[in-house]
Amino acid sequence: MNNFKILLNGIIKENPTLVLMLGMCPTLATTSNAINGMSMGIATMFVLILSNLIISLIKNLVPDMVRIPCYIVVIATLVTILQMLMQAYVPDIYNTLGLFIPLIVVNCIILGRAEAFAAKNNPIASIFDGIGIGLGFTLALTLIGAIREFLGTGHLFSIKIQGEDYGMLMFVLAPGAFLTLGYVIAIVNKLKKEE
Amino acid sequence: MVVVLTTISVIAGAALAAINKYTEKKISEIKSEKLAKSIKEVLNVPASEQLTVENDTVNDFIFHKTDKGTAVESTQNGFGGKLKVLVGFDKEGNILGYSILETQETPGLGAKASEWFQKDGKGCIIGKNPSTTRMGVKKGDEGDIDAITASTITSRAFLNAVQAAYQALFHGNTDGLTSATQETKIDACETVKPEETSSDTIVTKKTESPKASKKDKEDKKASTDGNTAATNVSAEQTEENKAATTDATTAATAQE
Repeated sequence: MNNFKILLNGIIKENPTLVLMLGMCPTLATTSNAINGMSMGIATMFVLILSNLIISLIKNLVPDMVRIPCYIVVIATLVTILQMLMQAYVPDIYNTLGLFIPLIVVNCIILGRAEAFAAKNNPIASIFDGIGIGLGFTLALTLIGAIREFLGTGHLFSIKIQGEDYGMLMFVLAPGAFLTLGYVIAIVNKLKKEE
Repeated sequence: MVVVLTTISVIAGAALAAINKYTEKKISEIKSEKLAKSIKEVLNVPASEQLTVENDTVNDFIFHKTDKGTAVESTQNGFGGKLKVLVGFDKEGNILGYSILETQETPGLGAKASEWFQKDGKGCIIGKNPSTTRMGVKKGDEGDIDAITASTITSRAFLNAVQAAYQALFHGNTDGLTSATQETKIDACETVKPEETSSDTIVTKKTESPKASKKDKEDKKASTDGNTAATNVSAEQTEENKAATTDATTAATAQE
């Protein structure tokens, strides 16, 4: 598999949210608007690329029995670094995502890719896998966030599209997250079957 | 096995320490900058003006004393978590302004608190004095302030925080709440008084389109005291329109 194929694989064929159904918790919780969804996606992508790279570099040094603790230490370190950097340089985004940043540690996409891909492939391919899966996650979250934001408030990326009183608040709240996610997954499945 | 895990942990620890050292100063700078900006904002001081602030912490309250008045940090439990409010009082206890420092309220509902209680908001508290205006929501708490539509708990938490800040600052009562008893009102806001609207009116007007209510809103802005009663209807109507959009909305909001 060449690197470009690995990249596309993560975005379309093995899209973490819409096909593999991984990382549902941040997907539901952070997509109340498009910008939040996108920021969460990018934050996860950052951790994913670096963790894939580091894990594929150390894969031969780590004994099999302690590989999961080792991976968790690497991932947790990267997430904490990300948290501190975000606090220092993008405090506004940090304030909205605050609670969900530390939870990236237990996001199963990251550990899943470390186990399923980075532990078996070379560093370059692992980076591409990280970018691909990360982009797939970001795109899915941005899409769901945009749908929820538009239906819920009439805004898109915080830009006003519909009038003041337009909006079904439900879509910004928890039920809207489940509904939107369900429909997006259904549409993706339908498109995949038609192929 | 042990060696590898230990080595990895040590390297991770070192990396974290280095990054922490690098970002620590910047993070605390951002925090104090934000606080300084908020203090000026709630005390009606232009951002360019210099302000000497004297800080004082008593229990959960932090007082920022200046010659223009005092800004008080006060925390209450909101709907989604801690709600931290900074309220500015002048020497008589009139509210000069407020700013929400920390919030985890529902976007689109409780998060509206940052605008709702401002001067041109529907639940204006600016210019009011907690000793003469009861800081509580109108429905249920016998207060004088309109709650945010469908966010009574957030409104209550917010008003409690304001009231607690007032009590702490002027009566030295830093551990609990006592509500104000006097009835006279000072009213510097362009508020409407929905209690005059009967619930029947709301139900019958419910079917009007959101566009119409938007127009009503604009009308309301231009309104004088003379037609307050008429504009009340539209205020309630707007709220009702929103709530009527879907049944599920009502369910979700009723919860809050």
